[in-house]
Amino acid sequence: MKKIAFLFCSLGVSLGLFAQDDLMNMLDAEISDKPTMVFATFKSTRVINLHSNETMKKKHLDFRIQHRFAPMDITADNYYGLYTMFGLDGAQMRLGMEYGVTDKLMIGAGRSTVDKTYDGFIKYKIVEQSRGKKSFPLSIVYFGNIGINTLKWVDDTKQNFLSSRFSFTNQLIFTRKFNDIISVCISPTLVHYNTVETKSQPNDIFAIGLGTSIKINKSVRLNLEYIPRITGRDEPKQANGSASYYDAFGIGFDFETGGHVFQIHITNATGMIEQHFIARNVNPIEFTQIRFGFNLSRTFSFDHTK
Amino acid sequence: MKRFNFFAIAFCLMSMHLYAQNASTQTGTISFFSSTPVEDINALSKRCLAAVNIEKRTVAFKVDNTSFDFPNKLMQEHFNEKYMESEKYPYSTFSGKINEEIDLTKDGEYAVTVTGKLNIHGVEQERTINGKIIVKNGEITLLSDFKVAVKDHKIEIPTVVVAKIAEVIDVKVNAVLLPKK
Repeated sequence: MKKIAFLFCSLGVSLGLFAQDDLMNMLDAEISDKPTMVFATFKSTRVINLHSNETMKKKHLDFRIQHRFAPMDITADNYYGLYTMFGLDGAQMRLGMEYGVTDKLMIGAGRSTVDKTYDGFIKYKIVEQSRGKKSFPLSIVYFGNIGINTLKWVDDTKQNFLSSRFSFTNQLIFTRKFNDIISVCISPTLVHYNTVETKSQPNDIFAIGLGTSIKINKSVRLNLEYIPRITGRDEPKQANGSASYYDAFGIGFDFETGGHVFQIHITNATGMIEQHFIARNVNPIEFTQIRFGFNLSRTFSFDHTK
Repeated sequence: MKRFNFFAIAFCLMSMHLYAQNASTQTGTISFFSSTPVEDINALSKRCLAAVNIEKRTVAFKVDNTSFDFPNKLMQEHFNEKYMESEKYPYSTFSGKINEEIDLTKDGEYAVTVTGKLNIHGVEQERTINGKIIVKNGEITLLSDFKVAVKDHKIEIPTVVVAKIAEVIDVKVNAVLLPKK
């Protein structure tokens, strides 16, 4: 009994002593177990062509203007590129409106000049990378889109089906922000076309998108991207035996100025939706096919609750 | 034996009394406001940790910079990524001592000045901050309004947005502390 009482007392004393310690240490100990979410893995919802793990936040609208210009064509015939102002005379574009339904779910729609294609997509954050106790090392995001080609039918006389116009992308985006400077994304992607041009051409193309973002300073980042196709690389062949479609790559910079993110890059892809730049990129990775492009993103907040 | 038990219990109670000299909260609020002719920016955190030692009259605040909520999430991201650099400096803190000889166990309203160290963006500044303390039924409310000059804490503002962000930010603190059990 004596011993127990003594123990109890000394416990009380030690607790009391603990309370005398520096208040800041006490607060440090109180920091909750909640992990902190990693933010700004990428600056924008796109790496260059590929989607990043970022989504628009709830009630935020992103108006996007994307351009891919004609090849720079730095040849003597073309006055070393000056004739077309390094390709700026020709452009493919996509206009898009993209909206955050919740902080995890984003929807968007757009229209590309490539094949007069309308697209609609959803993007959902399955898990987010976090730090601290009970953290998770990766972000995993699902991205799915549907593309509708609205070109006039090639042959009006035969029976054409609306479903032939549709194509789809399903993608899982795995990203990790390693530190303040480097973020990486790996995105297994399946592109499906309901209809293809030839019998030998596959309807499904599987590819792995690879991207990285490197911080240069507070407002500028360097992005690199390469999207090797794993299946359906060689079909269909052209008449001369070479492949019709090629892997896409891109090198670009993000510039941030308040409400805008301006992404300028060089790439060999002309399309701005997955169907086009992954499965239907007709430009080989050659010096003559390198072109300028930009994504301009303007964010509007419709969150007036606070 | 009986006497010893009585002594033991008294001693325990006494030590518990010592322990009760701290009051704290995890849900204090801090808001700040930046006003320029171009743009008004405000943000609010409801997850400010605060503690006070009643006997020593010391106070401490600690807030996770990422807990500040902005109406515009892009601004929130910029705040954390470009200005506060929240990955490098996750918390803003203040710890100091109340200069006035007040008894925080007695109900009342006290106008106070607190001298201590304000740490924002990894830069510590010695500050004396005016505040008000309201004690009522053991609840201690800490209120303060003070200003922070961004350059005092080496927070750089790029020239592009210099017209949109005030050089001196108004900060408001409101924390209701309960005796620590």
